[in-house]
Amino acid sequence: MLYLLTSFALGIVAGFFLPFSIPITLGKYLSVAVLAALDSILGGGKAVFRKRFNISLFVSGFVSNTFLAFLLTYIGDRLGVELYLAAIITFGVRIFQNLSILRVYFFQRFSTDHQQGFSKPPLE
Amino acid sequence: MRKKIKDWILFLSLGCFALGILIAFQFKGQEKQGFPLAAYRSIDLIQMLQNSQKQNITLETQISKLRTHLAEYEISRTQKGNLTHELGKELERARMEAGMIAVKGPGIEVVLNDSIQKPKPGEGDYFYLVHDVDLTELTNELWAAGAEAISINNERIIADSPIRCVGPTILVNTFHVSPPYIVKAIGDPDTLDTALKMQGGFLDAMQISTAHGVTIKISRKKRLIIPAFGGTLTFHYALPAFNSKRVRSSLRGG
Repeated sequence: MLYLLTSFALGIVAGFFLPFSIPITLGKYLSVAVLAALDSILGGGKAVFRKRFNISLFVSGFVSNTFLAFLLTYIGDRLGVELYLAAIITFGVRIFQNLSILRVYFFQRFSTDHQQGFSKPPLE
Repeated sequence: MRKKIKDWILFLSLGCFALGILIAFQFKGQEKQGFPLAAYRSIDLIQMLQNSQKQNITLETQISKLRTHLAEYEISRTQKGNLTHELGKELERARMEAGMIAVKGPGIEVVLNDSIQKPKPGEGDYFYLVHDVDLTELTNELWAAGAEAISINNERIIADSPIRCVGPTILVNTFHVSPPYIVKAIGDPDTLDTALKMQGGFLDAMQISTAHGVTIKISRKKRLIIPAFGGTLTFHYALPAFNSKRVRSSLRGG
């Protein structure tokens, strides 16, 4: 957990100090990318708790989610339809679902037994 | 087992790093863009408007101060000779015609206010409000009836004054005026008054609005003061064309 927070903070610092920035017109893409990344991370966290974490699945999910979101945004821009909303809604729903599942795992882990940690197979 | 934990930490950390960069970029982009006006709350907008209006007022006092200085210089110069005295007189007259001098005299005062009634459901609010066209019609009528100076909410109407709807307010010259609209006109009070009450005239045209609660009060005044035009006149495109043969022939031809 600490690792994740530190690298997140490092990322923010790096982003602010990087000499280039993304033009405003691509802001839509950026916000979709932010949501895709958040979704992938929460999904990965869930998989970790379920002991089903798989690197190739995680990476491919990250990339394909982002790519599809970009594609939808692009097509939407071309068609004049706000298609990127579809991506935002999907990611938003998934983020909240994953977060609630993670929360359940957290409470299970910390309230019942501290010792066993990951070795105890979670419910579901 | 151990290796697997390391793996997920590594990759999730990488993901978090990417997320951090993206969020930072998003923030940077927003900052650069600045927040659009529509994102401000109306309270902030009111504050901004008030600030700029205050600024306007200080600048206008500056203009009037400079004008009085100018007038003083002219007076001191006109006292030197007869010819310049004549020129000074002419200048004064031109100023008065242009609306650059505050004037006083008899006239009428028309007070227009929006209706206090609420529009019925399914009904637009058009006839419940005083519109820019109403004010232009009114000033037009007053000019036609021989008004010599007109002001709306103490904003002098001059030759190129716009009267135009801007959101909920009406733009007069460079000022946004809001109801009640007090229109003052200097001229023969009887003529002005009857001109507005003429059949098919201004009051008749406003009948639908007054029926919906818009109030129009006309009062004759023995003494009105109408302020000078507060802004500046600038000519970027127009140049004086003197009364030469070419001008005359081109006017005739056109």
